[in-house]
Parts: sequence; structure tokens; C-alpha cells
Amino acid sequence: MINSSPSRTPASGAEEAAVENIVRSGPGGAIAVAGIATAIVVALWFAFYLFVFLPRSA
Amino acid sequence: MTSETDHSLGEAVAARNERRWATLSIVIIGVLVGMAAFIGIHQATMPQGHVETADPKTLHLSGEFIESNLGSAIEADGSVTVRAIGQQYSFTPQCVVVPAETPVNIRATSADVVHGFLIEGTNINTMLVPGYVSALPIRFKAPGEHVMPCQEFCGIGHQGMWGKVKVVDKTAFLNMTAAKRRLSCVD
Amino acid sequence: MLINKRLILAHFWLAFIVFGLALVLGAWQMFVRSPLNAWHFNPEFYYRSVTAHGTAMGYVFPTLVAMGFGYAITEASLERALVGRRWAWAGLLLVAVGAVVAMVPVSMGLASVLYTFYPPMVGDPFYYIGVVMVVVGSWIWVALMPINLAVWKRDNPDKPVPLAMFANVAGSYLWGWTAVGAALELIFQIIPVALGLTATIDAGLARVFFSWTLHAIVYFWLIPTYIAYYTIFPRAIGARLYSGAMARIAISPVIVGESTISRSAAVISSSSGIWSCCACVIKSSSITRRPAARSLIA
Repeated sequence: MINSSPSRTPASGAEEAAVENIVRSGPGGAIAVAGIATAIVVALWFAFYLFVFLPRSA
Repeated sequence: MTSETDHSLGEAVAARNERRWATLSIVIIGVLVGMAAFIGIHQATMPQGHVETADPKTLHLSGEFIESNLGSAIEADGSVTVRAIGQQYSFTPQCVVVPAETPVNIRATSADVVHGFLIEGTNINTMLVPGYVSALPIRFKAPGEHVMPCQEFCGIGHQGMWGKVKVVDKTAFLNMTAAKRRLSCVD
Repeated sequence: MLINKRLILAHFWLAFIVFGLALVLGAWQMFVRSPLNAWHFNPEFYYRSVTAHGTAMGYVFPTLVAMGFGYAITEASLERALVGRRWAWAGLLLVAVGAVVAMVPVSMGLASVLYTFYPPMVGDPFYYIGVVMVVVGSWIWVALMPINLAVWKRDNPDKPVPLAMFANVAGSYLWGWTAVGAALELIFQIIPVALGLTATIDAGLARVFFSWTLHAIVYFWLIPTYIAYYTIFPRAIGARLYSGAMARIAISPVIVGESTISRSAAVISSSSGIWSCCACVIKSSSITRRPAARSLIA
């Protein structure tokens, strides 16, 4: 139930081909979203470290 | 027909992207772990590199934290050692005076339960655990006042437990040391 | 397909009833701290409420959610009835009774020690005994997860483990391991003092034990969400998971890393410890932030 794909109909050759097309073109959008989010978080960490923590240290 | 090659092409694309993202994740982890190690080694006293103990039962009677030894003391090398204790529900000395632009070593412990020790606007943020001495270095760049609250729950009076750190000019501090061997700004 | 729906729903019912009570306390706490209610500013009542609120929010509520969700994932992904149904109900009973046992002394003002315990402050022993009961009840769930997986694997020798169950069992291992810290602190340090059997306590060691739990517990809370994002979410939007392998690779280091880090988490109270802590969060979120649903690129 939770494992199987929702649209497992055998007579969907055109749909399968369309899906393969999409997969072949790569997960660019997903990488962009995840990449920007990760970059923001890492940048904030470094920003706090460099501009707040280090200036306050002994 | 073409579905076989299409599928394997799709798989190759997926595999390539998976590898790239995994590499990126590992690089991020490596950098952060490396920095954590670097911070630990070079700012070696944050956290403390060694464990020091004290006996909370005899804190006031003998040893480093008797009342006459609390406060700011100037050392032979020009640095300042601040000794303080936290107890339900105040810090002693309640007003700590330190010189600007001088290496300061804060040494503190608790006389009863776990207290917090935090100096606002600095990296001093630790716990005072009964039985253990917390030792942290700090250097204040300019004169001013900092709030020093207890930031760990210590009982009913916790929200009222806070002290003050007064950073004074270096020469003003040295003048104060001529009069007394342990300084505070309580008076 | 879910068979033991009542078992699963009972967990969520109880979880959210407790959540509702804790919400009321939280709202009341805000009222107390506001200028509207200055005359009610009684610190004793406030810390009593913080203890009850924190215990419910940090121990009872998320544990029940993880347990109920875990049973649901077990039945849904392995497509069979839960093995050990009676044990599961017993676990739920232990959690429920433990929560009540803990809340009675807190409500009476006898254990205003906060959910982080903070020894050498010590309250009524039944508060701690109640928390131990909650944890032990959850350990029944911890045992049932790999047991169910093993039984399924024995009957399905060639099939790969369903991703949802993989993450579910990983989460149960994480909780089983990380709960040990608080259990040790409670059973060997705090409860003996609370019962009057010993008179001293090593507060530094108690903090070390507690941070063993406190660090990774937040990931124990987070794993149901990860499972939902990786398995339920793609299905709900009519897509497929882009990379099941990456999902498994993402979950494993979070579990291993957090189990390791939780053991060496004695430095959390220092400022540099806070930076390491944030680094942990970033590490785990950068791994799991893997593009997972194909629909994002469609």
C-alpha cells in the first residue's frame, strides 16, 4: 500500500515514455531548491561564526 | 523499443545526480567537522580542555573560592583572574569589574545546584556545576556594562538571579588594584 | 492496509489529548508572563507548569506519536498485521500510566524540576518513576519494530526492505540507544537520591548522561516527518520517490552520527558546543534535503 506506486496500470506506454523523458532530463529544479536552501543554512552558520562568534572571542 | 535505452539513460542521469549530491553533502559535513575540530583545538578552553573539581560542601571554608578570594585579581603577567560563585539565587560578587583590552580568566563554580553563567554580548555561556570549576578566557575590547544572568533553571528564584559585569578602562582598573587585592564593583 | 486501526488510533488519541492539555498549560504560562496578569506572578506556579508542559511536550506527546506512527508504518509497508499486538497495547498502557504517575506530584508542586531534571535539585520520586515508565513503555515499541521486520524478512527472503520500514526501524534503534542516557541518570542517580537511598549525586555526570538523550531525541521526534516526506508525500501527490537508495543513504548517517554525537555531547552547555550542535543540524539536514519527489522536476 504505502510502497506501491499509485498508477501501476500496464497499458500506459505513452505515460511511461513521458515519465522516462522527464527522468532523463534530470532533477534540475529539485537540485535548485534543495541547493539554495542548503546554501542559505550553511551561509548563515558561517556568517554567525565569522561575524559574531569570532569577534567576541578572547 | 526505445524504452530500454530510455530507461537506462534515465537511470544514468539519476545515478550521476545522486553521486553529485552525496559528494556535496560529504564535503559540507567534512568542512563542518573540520571546523568543529579546529574550534575545539585552537580556542582550546571553549569548551574547557580539562576537568577541575571543587567541593561544594566546603566552598566557603577553604580553598580557592572562599569569600576573601572572590572577585578580580591581577596576576603577575598582567592578566586578570575573576573568581565567582553562583548559588540560589545570586552571584558573588554580584558586580564583576574587569579591565578592557586585557586577557581575563573567569573561574567559577556553584555552591549548591546547577546554575548558568552567561555574559551578554560575549561568548561566555556555560554552566556552573556543583563539584566542578568552570574556567573560560575572555577579552573585553571596550569599557561598558554587560548583564550576567543565570540561564539554567536553578529553582524558584531563578528568574531573579543575575549579576553585572562592568568593564572599565585599563588604567582605572590598575588604580583600583592599588587599594585592594580582590576587586568588585558591588560598592 | 491497516488492521489494528484501533491500536494505532488509540496512540494518536492519547497523544493529542495530552497535547491539548499541554497547550492549555502553555497558553496559561504565556498569560502569566504577560503584563495582563502581573498579580499572578508566582514563580512557584510558573515552574510547576513548565515542568508539566515540558514533560508532556518532550516525553509523552512525541513518543506516543512516534510509536503510533511506527505501528502504522509497520502494517502499511510490510502489508501484514502487527506482530506482538498485546505487547504494543501493554506498552501504550505503560506510557499512559507513567504519564499520570509523573503528573500527580508535579501538579502538587512537589517536583518542579523541569523536564531536564537538573540534579542536584530533586523532586518527588514518583515524578521520575513516571518518566521511567513512559520510557520503558516506548522500549516495547523499540523492540517490536525490528522484530516485525525480522518476521517479514523471514517470509520475504528476496525482497528489499521497504523504505518506510527501513527508516522506521532506524528511528527505533536511535530512540532505543539515546533513551539510555536519561534512563541511567534517572535509575542510578536521581531516583536513589529521591528515595533517600543515597545522599550525594555527581551533577556533572548527570549532565553527561542527560545530554546523551537530549541531543539525539530531537531526531527521534523528526524521523516520522522524514518518513512521511520520503514515502507518504510522493504517493500523495501522485509521484514516485526519485531515489530510494539516496533516502536510505540519507537516513543511515543521521542515525549513526546522532547516536555517536549524543554519547559525546557533554559540551553542549558551552558556547562552542552550541556551534557544534548547529553543525550537526546542518549536516543532517543537508543529507536529507535530497530531491525526493519526481514531481518537482515535472
